[in-house]
Amino acid sequence: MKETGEKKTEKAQEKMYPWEKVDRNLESWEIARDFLEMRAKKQFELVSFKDIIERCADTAAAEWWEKVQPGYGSGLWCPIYYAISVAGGVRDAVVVIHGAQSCVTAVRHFFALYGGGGGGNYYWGSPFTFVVSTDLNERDNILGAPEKLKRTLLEVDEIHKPEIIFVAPTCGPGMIGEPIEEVIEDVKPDLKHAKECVYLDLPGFKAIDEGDMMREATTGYWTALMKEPKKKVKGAVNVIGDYRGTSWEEKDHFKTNFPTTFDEIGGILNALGLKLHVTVPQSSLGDIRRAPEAEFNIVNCPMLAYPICEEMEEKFGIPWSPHVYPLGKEGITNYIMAFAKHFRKEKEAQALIDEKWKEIEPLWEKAKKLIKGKTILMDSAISMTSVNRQLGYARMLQEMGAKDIVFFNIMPSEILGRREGVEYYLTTSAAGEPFNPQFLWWPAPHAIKLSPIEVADFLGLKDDEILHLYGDLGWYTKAPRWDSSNIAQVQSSIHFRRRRNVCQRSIFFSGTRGLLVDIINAVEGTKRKGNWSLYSRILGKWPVPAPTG
Amino acid sequence: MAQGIKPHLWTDQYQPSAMFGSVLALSGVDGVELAYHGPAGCYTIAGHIRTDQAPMGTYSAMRPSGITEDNLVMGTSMDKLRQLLKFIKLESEHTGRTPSLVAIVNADATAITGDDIAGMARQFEKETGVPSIALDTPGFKGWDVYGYDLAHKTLLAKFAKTDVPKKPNSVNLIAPYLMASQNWLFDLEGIKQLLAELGIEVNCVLARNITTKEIENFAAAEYNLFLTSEDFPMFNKETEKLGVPSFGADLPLSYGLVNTEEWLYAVAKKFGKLDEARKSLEKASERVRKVLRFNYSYTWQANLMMQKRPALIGRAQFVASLARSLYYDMDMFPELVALQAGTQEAADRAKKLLEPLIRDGLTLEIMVNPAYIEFARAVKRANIDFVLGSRIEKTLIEGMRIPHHTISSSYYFNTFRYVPVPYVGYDGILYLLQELGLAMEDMFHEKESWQGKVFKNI
Repeated sequence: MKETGEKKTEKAQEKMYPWEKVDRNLESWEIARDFLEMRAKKQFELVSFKDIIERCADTAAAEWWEKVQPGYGSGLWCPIYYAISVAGGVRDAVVVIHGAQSCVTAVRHFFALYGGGGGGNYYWGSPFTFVVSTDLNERDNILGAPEKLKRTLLEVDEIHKPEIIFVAPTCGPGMIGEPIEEVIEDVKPDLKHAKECVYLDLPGFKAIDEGDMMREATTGYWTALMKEPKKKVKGAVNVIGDYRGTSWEEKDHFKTNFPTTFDEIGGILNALGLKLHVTVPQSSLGDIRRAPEAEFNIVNCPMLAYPICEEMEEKFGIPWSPHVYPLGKEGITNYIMAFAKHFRKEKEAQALIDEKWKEIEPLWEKAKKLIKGKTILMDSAISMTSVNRQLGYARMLQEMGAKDIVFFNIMPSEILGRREGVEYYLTTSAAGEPFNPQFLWWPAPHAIKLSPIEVADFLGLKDDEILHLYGDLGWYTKAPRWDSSNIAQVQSSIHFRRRRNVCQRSIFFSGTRGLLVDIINAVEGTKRKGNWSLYSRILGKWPVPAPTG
Repeated sequence: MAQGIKPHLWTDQYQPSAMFGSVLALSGVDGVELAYHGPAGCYTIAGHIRTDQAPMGTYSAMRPSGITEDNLVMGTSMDKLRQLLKFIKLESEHTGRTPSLVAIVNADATAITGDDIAGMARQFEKETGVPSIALDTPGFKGWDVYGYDLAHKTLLAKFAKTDVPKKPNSVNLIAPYLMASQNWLFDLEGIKQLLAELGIEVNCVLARNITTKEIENFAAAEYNLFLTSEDFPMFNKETEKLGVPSFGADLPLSYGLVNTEEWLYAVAKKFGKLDEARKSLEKASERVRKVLRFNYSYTWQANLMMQKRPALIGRAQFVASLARSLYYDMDMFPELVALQAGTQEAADRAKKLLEPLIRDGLTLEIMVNPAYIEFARAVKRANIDFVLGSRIEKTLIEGMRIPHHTISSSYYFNTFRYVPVPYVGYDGILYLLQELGLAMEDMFHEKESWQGKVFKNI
C-alpha cells in the first residue's frame, strides 16, 4: 500500500485541492455527478497526512467549503454552539444571545445530553446555563435592535444577578453589523452584579469547520479576562482548553460519576509535588483572572488551548507544552516529561510512569498480539470524531506495532481547520518511526461518506485483517458482514467512550487501560461470528434461524 | 404572527422555532425531500428535528445549500440554492427515486437576504413536474406554531381538493406533535385506537405518515380534531374554504382518567356515539383494574405519590392536562404549573383547564412562559417535592437537588422509549404510573447516604 519515495516526491508537487481535480467549467451539480461516478469507480488515492498539510499549505478550511457541492454538509455545527458551550460553562455566567430565540433552543435541544454547557448537559456535568435571548423578530433582524439588547442586559443583570455576562449575536445581527460592542460599553457602568460583560463575535455563518469555530471562540477573549499576577504560585500548572467535565474533586469537593481528566492530571501533578492551579476557559471568573499565577501551562484540547497558551506566553511569559492526547507509554511520557523537565522533576516523573505502567503492561502485550498484522481503519463518519482525537488513538496503535493505519471520512477541510493540532502530531513519533499515518483521499466534498466496506475492498482487506475505529454506528453497519461479531470494532467517539474509573476524555493511564480493554474485547468478540447484533440486523439482513433439534 | 405571551422583552425558555415547526410537519409527508436553504449549523438542527417522524413513519430526505459568510456578503446564496435544486434533480435521476414533494425551507440568514425561495420552488416544479413548495419560516418568525401553521396551510393549499365526497364518522387529526409528550408518536396511535373503538375513522393526520393523496382527500372528513390548544389562523382559513369544521382545542388531552373521560365523551358527542364511548371506557377500566387490583407494587406506589407536591413545566395543554390527572387521579397536589405557550389562546385554554382544580381545593400558582431563573426560584420557594418536565431543564432542577423526571417535549430523540405503548386513554394511565414510579424512586432513594456509608471492605 505504501508509495515509493520517488513517487511520493512527485506527488508532493501536485496540488490536492478538489477543484483542481475536477473540471471547474462544469456546474456544481455536474461536478457532484462526477464525484458519484468517481466513487463508483473507486478513484481513491492513498496519501499521508504530511502530504495533505504540505499540498494544501495556503488553504483555509473555509475555502474548501466554498468549493463544496451543494447537497452535502451534514454533521457540521455552528459557531454559536461554541459561544454558548464554551462561555456557558463559566461558573455563574449568563449568556445573552442577541438574535432570534430559535438559535438558543437549537443549542439546548442539541446539547442537553452530550454537549458542553448551553443549558447544562448530562454527560459532562456542566451546570445548567441561563441562556437568554433578545428574541428578535423579523423587523429587528433587518433594521437592528440595539435598544432591546441594552434593556436585556440591564434586566438580566438585575434578575439573574450573574458574575459575568457573555453576549453573542446570531446570523441576523451579525449580518447587519449591529453595534453590540458599543451597547456593551454603554451598559457596563450600569451593571450592578456582573463584573464583566464580554462580546463573543460568533454568528452562525462565521465559520464552517469546528477547528475554526474553536479558534474563534478562544482567541483573544480569555486572556483579556486575566490579571497580571501579583505573585507566582510555586509548582502551579494550568490545564488549558476544555469545556467538558471541567471539575476536579480536590478543588470542587464532589466526586463525579467518572473521574474527570483533571482528577487524573491533578493526581499526577500532586505525585510530583506540583499543583493543578486553574482550568481555562471553564472556571469561575476569579479563577480565570488568577490563571497567570501559574508557572506552566499544559494542554487538553489543542484547538481550544493553543491560542490561549500562545497569548498567555506572550502576555504573561508562561511557557507551555503542546503535547496532547497522552495515550500509550510514549504519548504519556512525552506529555508528562514536558512539564517535569520544566520543574526539574524528570527522575520522579519516570519513576511514576514506570510504576503506573506496570498495571497496564499485561494488557498492552495482549492487545499488541491481537492487532498484529491488522490494518487500522480510522473512520470519522460524523463530526463527533475529531481528527486530533483519532490521531491520538492512531499514535498509540503505531506504538503497539500497527503498520498500516488508514484514515478516511475525515474531510480535508477538517484537517486544515484543525491544522495546528495535526501539525503537532506530525512532529511526534511512535515506536521509533515518525508519525505520519495514511489518508484515503478523493476530491469529494465533505459528507459524501465512504463506507468502511468500500474502503476495505479498495485496500483488499479480509475481515479478520481489520480493526475499525468508528465515531458513530453508521448506515453501513449491516449484517452479515459489517457487524461486531465479524469485524473488530472499537468506539472512538468521546461521548460514548465512558468506562468505569477511566477519565472522561479517555486519556492518560486510565484512558490507555480503557482503550486496550476495548481493543481486546473487540478482537476477541469476533469469535461470535454469525451472532449478529440487533443494530446490524436492523440495517442489514435479519434472517430468522430455523429451530434446532 | 404567533408571538405568544412574554413576561419580559427577552426570553429564557425552551421555545421551538418556526423552522422546527415547518421541518417537523413537512417530514410527516411520505416521500418528501427538503431543500434546506441556510448555514450548516441550522441544517444540523433541522436534520435532527425531522427524525422525530422516523419511528414507524417517514425518514424524510434532506439536503442543505450550505450557505457561508461569503455567499451572504457577495450575494451568491441564490446560486447555491439553484445548484442544490439541480443536484436534487440529478440525484433523483441517479437513484430512480422521485420525491412526492420538494419543500424549500429557509433560515434567518437567507430570509434576511430575501432569497426568492417561492420563485425557485415554482421553477423547479415547472422543470421537473415534482410538486414543490417553499416555506418562509426562519427562526425569527417566532414559535414553532407559526411553522406548523404555515406548513399545514401550504400543504392544504397545494393538494387538498374541495370536490371530494364526505366520509361519515371521520376526522382529520391536527398537529399531533403539539400534544408535546415525549411519547407523542405512540400517544397518537393511542388516540387513533380510542377513536377506532368509537367507530370513527381517521381520514388524514396533519402531518404524520401521510401521502399527498391523503392530503388531496382532506375535505372528506366531517371534522378536524385538534390535538393542541395552540391557535392556527392560516390553517383555519384554509380549512374553512374546504368546509371542514374544527374542534378539540378547548379539551384536555386524554392523559389520565378524568381527562380521558372528558375528551372521549366530547368527541363521541360530536358523532352521536356516547354509548360506544361509555362501553369503551368500561372495557378499558376492567383492563386497568386487572393489572392494579391487589397489586402491592401499585398500592405501595399510590401511597408514595399521595399528597406529594410536584411542579410541572411544559407545553400549556399538556401540563395542564397532566396537572388535572395528578390532582384527580393520583391525589397529588401540583402546586406550581409553568405553561409554555406559543399563542395567547393556548395559555388561556390551559388556564381554563386548570380552573376546576382551584375550585376543587388546590392552591395553585400558574406561570406563563417563565424564564428558567424565575421557575427555579418558584420551585425553591414552594418547597416542591419533584418536577415533571422536559430533559432541557433537568440539569437545572437536579442541580438544585430536587428530583426531576422527563415526560414532556416533542423531541423523540434520546427519550430511550421504544415500547409502542401510549400514555393516553384509560390504559395509558399504566404507563404514566410507571413514569411516576421512576420519579418516586428518584425522590425517595437516599443514594448519597448509601455512597457515604458503603461497606469499607468491598
